[in-house]
Amino acid sequence: MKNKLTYFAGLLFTVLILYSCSTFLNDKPQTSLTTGNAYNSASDIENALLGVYQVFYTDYYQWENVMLSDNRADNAYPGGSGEETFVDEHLYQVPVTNSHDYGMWWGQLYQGISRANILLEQIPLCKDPALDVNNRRAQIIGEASFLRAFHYFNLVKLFGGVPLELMSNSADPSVTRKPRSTVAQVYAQIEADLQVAVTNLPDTYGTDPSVNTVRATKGATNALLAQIWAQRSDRDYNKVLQYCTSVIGSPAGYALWPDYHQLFDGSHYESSESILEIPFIAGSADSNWGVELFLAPEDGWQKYCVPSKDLVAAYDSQGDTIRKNTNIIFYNNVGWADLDWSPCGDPATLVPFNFKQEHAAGWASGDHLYLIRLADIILLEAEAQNELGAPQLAAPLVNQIRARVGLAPVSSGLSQADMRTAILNERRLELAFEAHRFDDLVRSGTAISTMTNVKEYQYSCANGTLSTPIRIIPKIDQNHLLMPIPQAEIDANPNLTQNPGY
Amino acid sequence: MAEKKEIAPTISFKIILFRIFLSIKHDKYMKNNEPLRGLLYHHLKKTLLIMRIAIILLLVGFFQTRANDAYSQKTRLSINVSNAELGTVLDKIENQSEFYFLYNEKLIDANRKVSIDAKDEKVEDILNTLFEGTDIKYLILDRKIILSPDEISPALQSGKKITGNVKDSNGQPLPGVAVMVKGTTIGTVTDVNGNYSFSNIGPEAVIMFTFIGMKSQEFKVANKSMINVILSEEAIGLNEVVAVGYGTTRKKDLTGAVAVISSAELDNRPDTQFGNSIEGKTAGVQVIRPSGQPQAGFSIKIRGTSSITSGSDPMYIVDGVQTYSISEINPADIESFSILKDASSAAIYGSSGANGVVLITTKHGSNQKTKISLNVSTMSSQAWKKLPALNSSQFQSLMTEMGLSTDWNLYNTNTNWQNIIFRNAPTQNYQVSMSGGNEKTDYYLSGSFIDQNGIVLNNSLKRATFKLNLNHKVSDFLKVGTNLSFDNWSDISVLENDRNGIITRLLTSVPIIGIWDKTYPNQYALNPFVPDLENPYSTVYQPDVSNTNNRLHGNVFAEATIFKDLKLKSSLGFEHSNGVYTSFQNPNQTRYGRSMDGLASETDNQFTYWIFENTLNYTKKLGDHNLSLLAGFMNSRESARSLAISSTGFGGSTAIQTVTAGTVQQIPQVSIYDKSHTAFISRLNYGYKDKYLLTSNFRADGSGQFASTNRWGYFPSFSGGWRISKEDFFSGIKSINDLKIRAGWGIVGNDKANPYAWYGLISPGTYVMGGNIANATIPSTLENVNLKWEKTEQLNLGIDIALLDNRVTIMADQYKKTTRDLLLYVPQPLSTGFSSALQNAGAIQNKGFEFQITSKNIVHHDFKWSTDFNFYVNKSKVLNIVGTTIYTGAVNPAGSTYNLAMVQAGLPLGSFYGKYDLGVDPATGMVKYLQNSSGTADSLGVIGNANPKFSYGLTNSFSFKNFVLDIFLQGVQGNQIFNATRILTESMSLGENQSAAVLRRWKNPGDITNIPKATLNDASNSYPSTRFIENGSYLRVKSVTLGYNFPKASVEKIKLSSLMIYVTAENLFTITKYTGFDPDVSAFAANNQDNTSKNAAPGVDYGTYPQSKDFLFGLKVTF
Repeated sequence: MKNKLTYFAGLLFTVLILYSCSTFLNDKPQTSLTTGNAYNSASDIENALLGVYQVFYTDYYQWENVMLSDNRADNAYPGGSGEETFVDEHLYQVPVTNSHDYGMWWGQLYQGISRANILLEQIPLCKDPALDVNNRRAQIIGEASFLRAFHYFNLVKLFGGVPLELMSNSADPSVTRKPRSTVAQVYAQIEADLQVAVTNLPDTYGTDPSVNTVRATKGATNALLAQIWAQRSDRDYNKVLQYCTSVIGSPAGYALWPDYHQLFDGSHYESSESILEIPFIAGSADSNWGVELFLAPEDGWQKYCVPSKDLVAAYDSQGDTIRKNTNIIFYNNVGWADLDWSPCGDPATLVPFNFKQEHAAGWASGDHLYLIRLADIILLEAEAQNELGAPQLAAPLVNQIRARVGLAPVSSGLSQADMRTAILNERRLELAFEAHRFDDLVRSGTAISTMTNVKEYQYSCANGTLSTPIRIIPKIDQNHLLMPIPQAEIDANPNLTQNPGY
Repeated sequence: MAEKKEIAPTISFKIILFRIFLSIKHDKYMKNNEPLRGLLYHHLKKTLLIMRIAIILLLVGFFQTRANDAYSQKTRLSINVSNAELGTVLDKIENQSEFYFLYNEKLIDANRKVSIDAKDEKVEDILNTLFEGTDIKYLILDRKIILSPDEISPALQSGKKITGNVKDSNGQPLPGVAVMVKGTTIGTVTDVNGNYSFSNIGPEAVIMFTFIGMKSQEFKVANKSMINVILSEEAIGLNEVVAVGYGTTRKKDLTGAVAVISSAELDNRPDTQFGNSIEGKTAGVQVIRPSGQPQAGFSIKIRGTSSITSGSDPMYIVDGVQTYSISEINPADIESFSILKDASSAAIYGSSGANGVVLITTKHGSNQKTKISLNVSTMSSQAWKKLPALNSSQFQSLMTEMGLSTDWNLYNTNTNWQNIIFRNAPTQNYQVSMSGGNEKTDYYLSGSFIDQNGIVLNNSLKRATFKLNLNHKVSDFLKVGTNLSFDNWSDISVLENDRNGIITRLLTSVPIIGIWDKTYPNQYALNPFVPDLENPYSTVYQPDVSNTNNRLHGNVFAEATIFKDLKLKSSLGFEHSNGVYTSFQNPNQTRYGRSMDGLASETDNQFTYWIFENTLNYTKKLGDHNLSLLAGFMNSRESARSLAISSTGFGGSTAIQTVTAGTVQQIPQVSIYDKSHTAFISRLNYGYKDKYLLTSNFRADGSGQFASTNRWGYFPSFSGGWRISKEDFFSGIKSINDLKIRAGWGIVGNDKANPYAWYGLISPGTYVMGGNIANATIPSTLENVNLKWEKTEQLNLGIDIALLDNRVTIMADQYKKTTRDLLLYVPQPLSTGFSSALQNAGAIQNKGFEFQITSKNIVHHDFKWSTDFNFYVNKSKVLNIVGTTIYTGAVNPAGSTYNLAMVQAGLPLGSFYGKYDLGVDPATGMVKYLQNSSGTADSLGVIGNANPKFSYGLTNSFSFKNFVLDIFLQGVQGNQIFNATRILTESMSLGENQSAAVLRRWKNPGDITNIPKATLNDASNSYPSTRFIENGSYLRVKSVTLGYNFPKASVEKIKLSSLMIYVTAENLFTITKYTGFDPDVSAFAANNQDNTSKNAAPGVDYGTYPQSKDFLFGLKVTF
């Protein structure tokens, strides 16, 4: 018995040693794919492509871009509870340690670039013939290139020249610690990507607008090309004009939607006016929580991006009630003291909210966000015509936009300078809270003057009595048109240099 | 001698009787020419002796053996040998039990062949059998057994006469001690009274006193005619058996750095969790309390932190099986702790030993009469400190100064939130255990229940535990057993370490509101200035959370004695836990709840761990050589799975509070992981004459965390010990009873990283396409096929000393611990799309010194006083982290995130990061910060150090008659705390309440103060800076226990074997300059914090729940 047991034990020992040496240690992820099995089939590649689009669900595109544009410019006050991030941004005092600057503005844009990079690297390796049916492989390359260019465009506007990361597959410091490229080099890369996109992408993917306005198309690429050639300092309005014309004349059949308010009422997304938008489904995991940050005073806390008195006055001075009421909603009895509109917290005082999306829906809105819509391109074309010395050709374009909201046309006899001002103002009223205002001011060279001249006041309230207003003048200068390169990024990549003034 | 056992019911009584017995013999021997007088004298003396000694010894004996009452009575032994040497049998008894023998090897023939077949017998019966028909008698003193010849006939000599007496350190005469003239064969032995005499001795002669188990002593005769000697035992603690990895060893044979805490020490303090038992009791072991919430638990750091971004908790092993949930262990079940601190002792656990190993041995039964003990206690806890906040009129004037106003008539209350939220919290603790057994089977069975409440409303914990330890001897060949525990845990925690956490809300909630809104009585009142901050009362009660967890832990094992000296042990260990966490946010009462229209969530967690271990153990004693070999292998796997679901939209209803009732269901989140390990282990222990000791370990470890080419890590260690006191040249040194030096070197590993560490993971996601939610994939980590083990190399030098009749024992260790190939989440430029990548990069070093002294200051029969003191220093230094800097310890005081700690080469872990406050500018009232060298911005850098210069613990134990008093002090010195709570409570930038410190704020130009002016919506004055760095040194009276043991006699009348009542005060008072609630907390030590913050941002107080002051009354009964 004893001997048998000894043998048995010995045998058990041996068997277990052999067992332990084989596959026991091959732990495999069950709730994730891995680089080894995520890119093998055509549908894998399609899924990876939607992963690139999915960056549009991050903070940057859900609301930070609006704060960076409308709040940073003269359209809005930061609101909230006076969080320094947005107050700083509003006052051009963003510290290099600002966590939004690092994680959301810089980080999320590069996240989009990285996903596009990885996909562009994987596409040629995928041998699935299904990928080549109907030229899908080329289209995907076009979509990924478009998206990469889209994010780089936002980066270069925010930070100036940034490192050109085109691989995103290594942690090797000699590869990852790239120095900053120049602004021109970044634009060159954007241009190169967009040329790939414009070649590869179709005008439409069929007849389904919920695809055609959501995927990158030739029209969206042309629109973006128009935007970059207008925005870069070495701008070329001939190209702007050329690309705008391509968009407007696109076989996709873009057309202004007749009712401005309907564009944002929640029932008319994916319309003929939409060139590219971010889709959401209410109450789902793919819902838009950003709206709750702007709207819904019933939450009981002060929202962000509070429309400015200057913007309200701009609408009022034009008698522009349609767009004012579409973009701004006033509530009384909000339950807090708004520093700008209701410093003493009088319940009867009306306080405005950013109403661009109308349904907060408890952090789960189905309201879409426009990334590019035709009105922007029409006004851009007007801008190109005017800058190319033809204000008279600009006027009818501007008037298309004005007519839709029942405003009197601008005179085609305006001087180039007056037309420039008229277009800029038209863009402000038309595109408020769609993340254009700050770029427009920079492009027109009026950012510093506009922000220095804007009449902003802070009040205090002692025992229910408003104090004398204290004028707030943002400390804006040429340097502060760009955001600081995040210090944490410089720490991780010592080859980066900081923007001047930070 | 057979009659002795009938009349010797207790140790102390037996001592008396034996002394009487000895004195009868003595009388007979010495006074046989006066028989009648001698007898009368003797009777009188006997009565007096009984009266006097009985009282003294009964009490003393009770105290001495409080934890081990009547050891000889309850211990049963089984020995079956035929024709073996007596010495071997004595060894067997020592091995089976805690008995040890003292004898003169010249008088007791250890080589005499004996046979015995004892099953389940008391030691006395065995000894009676062994010595039947011989002249040897024995004396049992607790665990000590003295052997001496019945009749001792000293050889009488003529010439110069030397006389004297030999006693032990307790004053007990020692019979049978060899008294020899050194270098000659002349010698004698002491008689029953310890007396001896010599004749014909020259003044040059050196007399040696030797006795097995005692330390030998030598004296030069010179001109003395009387030499009285007190022999001290070989340090008694050194014979203690200590758990080490995969086995036990005697403390005296240890060659590594192992801290031991035994049940005797544990019994002195009734604890709700075992962290309390360890804290401050041993050098080099830091117990970190993330918070004072009862459920917050604790974590342990052994010899500093040796990792930056991977786990740095030690491995916890209960009865041989690793556990992942230490809070659920019932401290009353614990027999002892062994804390393996250095590489040479932890190397056998190679894979996770880098952070040290805590071995927990639970109580076992033995061959004894059934023993039942009951321990009941009740406790009341309260906040030991409250911090002054502004009252409503002070608040109103601050708001007015900041330019904020409201209708003050609507807000006319004056609420002190600390008085509302803090409470006197009751706790009840019940503990019952039963143990016993027979020769084949022994068991320990226990159950406990604790219902503990925190000092914050609603914060509570309930824990029920059940434990069974069972051993059964199937045959001489096979032993089987199980250690099993089951526990049920449920708790309600409250949010802390957050801007919206309860502790910060106590100070920042405005005093002008009450609990409920005046207009909407179903809603909690809100701050009119910052309405997104919830009412503190709702912070406590909303969401309504519950957390329950069931856990099964233990093993089943079989041990086969293949042949003499060779044993095979096979054990299957397991841990399984199952937890459900639910929360429901009321759709009406809170602002957040209203915006979501109610929010329900549920998370179900399942965790399974199993380990199958097989070890072969070979032990052999060959003359002076002691050899033991261990070899084995094991497979283990941990698997976890969790499911999280949530929903919103309850239509304002609270009727059903589960996820199913919400109309908007969120996508369920599932997480699953496995971590597999395989290991081969081996160990060699070798000892020569108990003088030279050598231990060597080798372990090969395979981990599924790494790609197949890098799976295996190899972990060797060597350590040696030299008991100098055993050397001949040392025999003349009387004041030192034992002296051992130890040296060890080894490498241990760490593979603690996120699961599937080496893979490039691609997570599932979704995006809306074509109007529908469609699948997407999202890269989440970078692949690293080169990932391999993190390795910690450790060098340890130690010394153990026992002094002054073993009344003072000292243990000191010095170490250097270097961790290389750190499993480091190296920060990546975000331009890569990834914030970090796991790499083997960088190195960190810890150096330290540990010192521990135990002293029996007074050993009087009525009064005893002993002191334990430990002291340690650890210095950590990051050697390199590939040139990068890691910022961690993030707080979010007002919208922006600040990292409070930085990690950089050359700095210690725990370096605070921020600006340098140069004080408040009297002209502007704004804080001036140091500028960078170019003068363009504020300078940012290291502004403080969380590491103490040293830490210490001091325990004084007194016993006076039936009373015992234990006072335990604990402290750290020279550390700093980042009081980040003050960033919120002194910022004066938002419409929140502030601490009373802001009453000193700058108001007018020229004001000289260190509190800046109020600046609405401008938090620049409260940027994390030196302003919030405080001295964190403290000395805390951690616990004071006063106990009373009812006299044995009266207790026995009511059929109990012992009865004790006690009162304990925990955290009675604290001496500190720290201005926050509690200097002994660490916001980032909480379980839900990431490893980097845990490791690199200790000593941050960010609204961290303070420890409470507790008063406890308890009762312990044994029968």
